[in-house]
Amino acid sequence: MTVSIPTVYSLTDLTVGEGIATGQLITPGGLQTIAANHNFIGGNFRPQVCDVFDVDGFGSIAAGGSSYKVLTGTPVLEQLDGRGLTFVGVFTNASGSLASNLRLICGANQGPVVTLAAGATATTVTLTCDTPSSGNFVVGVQAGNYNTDNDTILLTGSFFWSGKTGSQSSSPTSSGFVWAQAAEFADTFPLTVEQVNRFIGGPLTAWNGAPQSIGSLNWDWTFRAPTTTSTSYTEIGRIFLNKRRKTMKIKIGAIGDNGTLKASILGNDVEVITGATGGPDSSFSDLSGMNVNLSSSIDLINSPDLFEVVLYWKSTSGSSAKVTNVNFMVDKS
Amino acid sequence: MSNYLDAEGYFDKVGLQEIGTSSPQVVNGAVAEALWILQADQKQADLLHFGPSFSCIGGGQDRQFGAAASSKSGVIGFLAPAFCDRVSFGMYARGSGTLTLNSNYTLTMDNGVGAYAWSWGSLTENLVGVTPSAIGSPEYKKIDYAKGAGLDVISLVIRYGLSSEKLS
Repeated sequence: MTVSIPTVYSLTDLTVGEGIATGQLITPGGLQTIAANHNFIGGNFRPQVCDVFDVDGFGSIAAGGSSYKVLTGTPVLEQLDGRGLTFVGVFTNASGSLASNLRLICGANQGPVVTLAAGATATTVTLTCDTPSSGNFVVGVQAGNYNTDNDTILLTGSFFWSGKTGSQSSSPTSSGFVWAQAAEFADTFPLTVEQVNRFIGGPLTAWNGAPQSIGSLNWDWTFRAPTTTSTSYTEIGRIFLNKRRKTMKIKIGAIGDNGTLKASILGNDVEVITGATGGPDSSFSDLSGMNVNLSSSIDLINSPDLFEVVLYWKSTSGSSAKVTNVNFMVDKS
Repeated sequence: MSNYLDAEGYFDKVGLQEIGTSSPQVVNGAVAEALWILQADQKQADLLHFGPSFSCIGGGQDRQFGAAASSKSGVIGFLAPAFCDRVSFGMYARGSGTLTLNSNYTLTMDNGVGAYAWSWGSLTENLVGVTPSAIGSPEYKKIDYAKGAGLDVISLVIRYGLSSEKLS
């Protein structure tokens, strides 16, 4: 059996004429509305996995012809249902003659190329890519076909999950979301426990099934990322985080190499150690070999709603150490 | 501040919502229990969509908003959740000056020239020209900003919400 994911969320008031209120007979219409909205949420809960912004933009060295450079990226936790990623960003192309190429790359998967016209300023572009079949991965925004450093610049953008639309198998998804079967609610059908139970825990399952970020710090991979050979910590950034649920845990993900990230968070220091390999290189055309470096789980149950995190960076061994992306991700484990 | 997604416990009552037995059966005789679930499900759906959500932009020591001593202008984008039509900004900065959004809304900081302490700017309920996003789909919005010289912005916090508390 299949289910159909509606294209809109119904705003119908179920307590007026829909039979979902005390003292009314439950009607198929009201049940179908709930079923449709339930499925809509299952297919369209699409939180962001990273936000990027820099007043000077994320650029790179020249990438002429068919070559590409990664402007910036982020670590992403696995989404079990195999959803792709979407990126919407604002780009500028300073070239007066060359239309540059943009694409998203998720691990080894390169998304379709979108052209950015020569001379484009603050232009919003949408990019997509399929996500790896399993495991955490690194996603990057790539630009190509520009002959001068920093001709193509990303100013700001958000990575978020792609939605599910159309006809889907009514079997539960890998992340555990159980679709409702609207067609099973009819005047002549009994109202069964199974059909009612298909609603249970839907929003929570959708929430748990969609990894998301509550804040991130990002630098471009070529010019401006903090780099050091010092084995003493240096402050590299501050950010405020806000809880999205009363009880939640987070993990800090980092992209970097040869170094150790320290986050001073709620009176505790949490470290993320990056390896000597698997770090960022703007010339990568395949990000599947990159490490998603994760901290231990941080419980925010006793934290205030809004709190500051101070970040420090050092070289682990004295070798040149670079960190390009720090992502505070909701931990569902 | 709005409620958390689980403020009314819906996310944490999964185990309490079971009715009947494990095998399908007619529950017309247990309408009262079924009704509770259905109402809760509808509420959950609403909460999921317009619950509070924040995004923190910037925060880098390399001045993602530009050096304190220079004025800067540009565009900031953010992903507005489904149904969002209200955006509030909080600025974490030092020094003196203003950050103006969409030429209309100004966040001001004045904690003394030369002061070297982090302090809050303002966190106000500014509606920055954001229209309700398409039903059910997150939408990418962008706003213009202009930062005055003398203002050292470290982080900008965005809060999303709905102008109405109920969808249905």
